[in-house]
Order: sequence, then structure tokens, then C-alpha cells
Amino acid sequence: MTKACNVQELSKSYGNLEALKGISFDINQGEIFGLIGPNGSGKTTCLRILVTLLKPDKGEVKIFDMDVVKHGAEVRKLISYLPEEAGAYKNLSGLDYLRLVADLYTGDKNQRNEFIDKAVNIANLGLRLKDKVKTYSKGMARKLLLARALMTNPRFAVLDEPTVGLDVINSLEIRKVIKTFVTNGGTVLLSSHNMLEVEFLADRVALLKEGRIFELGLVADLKQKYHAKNLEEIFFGVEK
Amino acid sequence: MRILLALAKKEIKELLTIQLLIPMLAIMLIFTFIGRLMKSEVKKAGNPQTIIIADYDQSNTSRSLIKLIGNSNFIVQELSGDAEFLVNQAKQKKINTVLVIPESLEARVISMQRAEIKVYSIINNFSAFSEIGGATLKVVFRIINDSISTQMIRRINKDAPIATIKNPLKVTDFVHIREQTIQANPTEIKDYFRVQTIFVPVILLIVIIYLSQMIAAAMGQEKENKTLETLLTFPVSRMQILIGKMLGAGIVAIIISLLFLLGMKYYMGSFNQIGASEVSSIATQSFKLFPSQTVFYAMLTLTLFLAILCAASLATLLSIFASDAKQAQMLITPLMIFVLFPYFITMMIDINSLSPILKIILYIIPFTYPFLVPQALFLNQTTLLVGGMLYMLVFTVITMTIAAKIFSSDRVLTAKLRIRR
Repeated sequence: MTKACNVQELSKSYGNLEALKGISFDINQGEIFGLIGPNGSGKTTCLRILVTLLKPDKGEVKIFDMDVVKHGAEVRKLISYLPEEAGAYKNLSGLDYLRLVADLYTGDKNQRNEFIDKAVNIANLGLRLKDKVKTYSKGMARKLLLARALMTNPRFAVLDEPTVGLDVINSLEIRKVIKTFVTNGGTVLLSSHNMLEVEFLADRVALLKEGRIFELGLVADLKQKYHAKNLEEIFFGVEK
Repeated sequence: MRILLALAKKEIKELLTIQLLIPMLAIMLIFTFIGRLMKSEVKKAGNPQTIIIADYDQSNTSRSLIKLIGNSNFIVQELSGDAEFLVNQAKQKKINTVLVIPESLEARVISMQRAEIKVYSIINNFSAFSEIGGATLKVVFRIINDSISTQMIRRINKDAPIATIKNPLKVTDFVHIREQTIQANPTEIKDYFRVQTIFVPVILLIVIIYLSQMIAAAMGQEKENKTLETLLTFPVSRMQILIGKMLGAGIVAIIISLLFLLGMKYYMGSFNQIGASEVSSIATQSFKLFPSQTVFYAMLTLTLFLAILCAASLATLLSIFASDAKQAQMLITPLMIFVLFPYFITMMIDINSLSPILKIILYIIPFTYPFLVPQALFLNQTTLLVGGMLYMLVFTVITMTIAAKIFSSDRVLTAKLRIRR
């Protein structure tokens, strides 16, 4: 079966700083793949290359068999990216923002409405969707952005810290949304500092350290290997 | 097209906020208010002014002189006393002019000697309109001088050709323009040209300055509000994003400029009352010489449009390098200089008289052409006209291509990354 994502020997430097030193992994369709690692380990750089924002120095990245450098425009039609530090247009209402994104993805009226309905359901913000984004709390804005990321039925969603800054209840809701998205056939690459979240959601994880993949495998296998109760303990062990 | 419209709509909604519109409306109101004030001042200056006259001659000549002043939009108050007393009286009554006619006026005129009239002007402000009364008085004196000199010449020789004696030299002006020679006054032609084209730099400056600020703000906000990273992963080409931004910012800039111009028009309208009539006679006479008004305005609009495109593309290119709205504003400052430099030079100096290096620099700056186009149209300089327009078009295309190239590279995001680390 075609892999949702295939990364081969990926390297990227900023001047003298080597952010990624030849990493390789692949993600199966319908899988939630967790990418974890300490600050500065190269997670964001890796995600940005996958979503066509940055170009790799060496190596190859394919999304559904399409090269991200050669077929960037095609890849962008299949993916969706939620950056860690993302914002929405402040003077637009939440609903206007969703309409804008829907318009950018489709010219078909019915499909557009479908996208918007779906986003309204995911965001679950009720009448506040008609208010300007600048009046939203951090949690509300994050839910709007997640709804935006999943509304267009992407085949591959790259989510960087999807629940950052959210309270327990909102985080739980968002995790449910991600699970449902995968149940319906989507594939997710999830990057997070919240080990419990990754453990709860991800099937397999890759642990990134100083631009290299340190560990890669099923969460259960890794726990066994490190004699750890949870991912946090593994992470702590690797850090030491 | 659908994507462009969606992007432009977003841009307009983001830019056209109440915070932006309120100061704009305030400026418009201020212009309108000043315009109204000007109009009332002009009207006031046109009202009859009061003048104090002390007539020590009490002769036929002095009486007819006072009568002439009275008939020339002045209210005459006759007083007697020394100069100091008269000036004090004038100050108390808020009258600005005192005229003293000496005892010997008529006697001196009869004996063919020069007579002296003293005029005391009380200056209490330097506004332009306070000068109008003084100017009128000068005209009155010219008429009086003329009539006295006619009398004097008659006294020497009844049959003398008075008009010839007073103006022995008649100057007839010819102007060679657009390959034809006509009888006309060069100053009047130049004035006519100036009045027809005075609004070109004003429009250009306002629109370009606003447009580039709007584009800088649009790009800066995109980075500041962390929306760019997401926008770049949508299935939209980089060129579409850039053109959408230019389009949205362009519409906002045009709305703002129109508001501005409306206020300006009202403000300028108050001046036109004063000087317009002198130019209008030559305008009707010499219009046959010049391109038809439709062609003239169509070409002018086209040039302005091209210049605006150049500015928009340059502002887009510059603002890509900014990391936030403030920095974006700073980055477009050189663009302002590019507009102001040819504006001042072409206003003051004939471009053909400049050194070759300066000339080349001016021709490289695309904003030089809109300032040269009115002249090129009036003087039939087709090469300059067509060449300038083509150059502006090519400039825009090249700038946009470079902008899209940079916009597609890592630079847009990595510049920020480096600062963070």
C-alpha cells in the first residue's frame, strides 16, 4: 500500500546549524504518527519540509508518492498543516475565516458548504463564530484553527502541538476530533511536548534528538524496551 | 479568479478597519472645513474696504480722485489731522489704509510738476488675503496716473497721439509649439498647462504612499499574526497570494485616496475662484492646439495606473523581508524617496538640461514617467510616452517575478528563524 509519507535521509541546515542530520521514517495511511523530542531537536523543521514550506538540503520526502519539492502544488492539495504558533485573521469573524479557507480549496458551492458545516461542528463555538477572531480566547482560536485544518478532508494532516495552551476539557475534545478524523480515513503526523497526549493518540512514535531519530517504534514496544511505565519516562531516559 | 477574489476580499476586510477610516474621515473633514473658511475669507477680501482720506487740497483734481477711489470698492472716510492722529484713528477703527493728499496737488499738476500722495498701510497680519485691498488701491493709482498724464500731454499738444506716446513699443508674442507657430503669450500657455496637470503629482503621491503602506501592513500583519505559515500551505500559488494582496491593498488605497481627493478638491476649489478666469480665455483659444481632453485624460489615467502597479509590486517585494508590520513600514521608505525625487526634479528643472548620469537615474526610476507624461502629451513626444509606459509594465512584471521567487524560497520563514535562535 502507498505510504502516506515517506522520508529518506532528510537533511537541513541553517548556516552552520545542522537542524536535521539525515533522518528517515515513513507513515502508513490511517495512522497517527507521533514526532517527539526536546526543544531544538528539529521537529518543526521536519514538519515544515513535509508541508512544502522549506526545501530540504539533502534527501527526499514523498507524500502519497509525490515529491514535496517537485510537486509542491499537488502535495498542498492533499495536506493540511496546523503550526504550533498559528493565528487567524484578526479582523475577520471566525465564520468568515472558515469561508475564506473553503473558497481557497474549492469552487464548488456544495462542497464549500460541506467544508464549512464540518468546520462549524469541529470548532463547536456556537454563535461566537460570528464574532471577530481578535475577541477569541486562546482556546477558542486554537479550536477554530484545528477545525480549519480538518474541514477540507485532507488525506494527511500535520498537527504541531494541537492542544497547546488549552485546558483539560478542550484538550480532550480536540483529541476526540483527531481520533474521529483518523477513523474516517485520515492520516496524522502529530508533534507534541505533551507525552501523555502522544501516548494516548499515536500508534507509533519517533523520538528526535539533535537532528537525528533516536528511537522509532510502537509505543508499547518502546515502553517494554526502556522498562518504562509511559512515554514520559522513556523521554526522560533518553534526555539523560 | 475565485482564489484571487477570496484573497483580495480577506485583505480588504483586514485592512479597512474603523481605526483606519476614522483618521481618514477626520482629515477629509478638516480639508472641507479649511476650504469653507477660505471661501469666506475670499469673499471677505472682495467686500468693500474702508479707507481714511485726508484731503488738504480740496481742489477739483483731489475731489475727482476721491470719487474714483469711492467707486472702486472702497468706503471713504474723510478726516483731517496730522499723520500720527490719522494712523491712530485708523488703528482704533480697525482700518488698514490711510491716504494723505497734500495741499499742492492740483497746483503741481497744472504746472507740470510731479505731485506726491502719501499712503500709510497698517500691517497687523501677513495673510495672503490682506494683500487684496492694497493691490486694488495700486490699480486705482495706475488709472489716476494714466488720466493725469493724458491731461498733461493734451496741455502740451492737443493733437498728440496719446496711446503711442504712452506705449511707443508694441510687443506681439508668438509661440512655436507642436510643430506650429501661433500668436499667443508663452506665460499664458505655460500657466494653462500647469493648471491642467497640477493634480497629477498630488494624486500620484497620495495613492502611491497609501498603497505601499497598505501592502506593507498586509504583509507585516501576516507575519506578525502568524497567519503566513498557514497561508503558504494552502493549495494556492505564491503569485496568486502576492497578486491577491496587491489587489486588496489597491482597492483599499483607492478608497482612501478618493476620500482624500474629495477633501482636497473642496479645498483647492476655494482657490480656483481667484485665478481661474485669467486662464480660461487662453484655454478655449489654445485647446485646438492640444490633444483632445478624452485622449489626454485616458493617457494620463493609464500612466497613473501603471505607476501605481510599479509601486505596488515594489512595495510587495520590499515588504517580504519584513518580520512585522512596523518593520514593513520602515522597509518601504526608499520607495517614497523614489517617488519624491523625480517629483521635485521634474517640477523645477527641464530633464533635458540635466547631466547624462542624472538623466539615466531619472529614466530608471519608473515614477519619473507620470510626471513627464503630461508634458509629452502636450508636446507630442511619442517615443517618451510609449517607451515610458512599456518600461513601467516591464518593471512591474520583473519586480513581481522576483517577489514571487523570493516568496517561494525558504527566506520568508528562515529570516524569522535566525532571529529567534
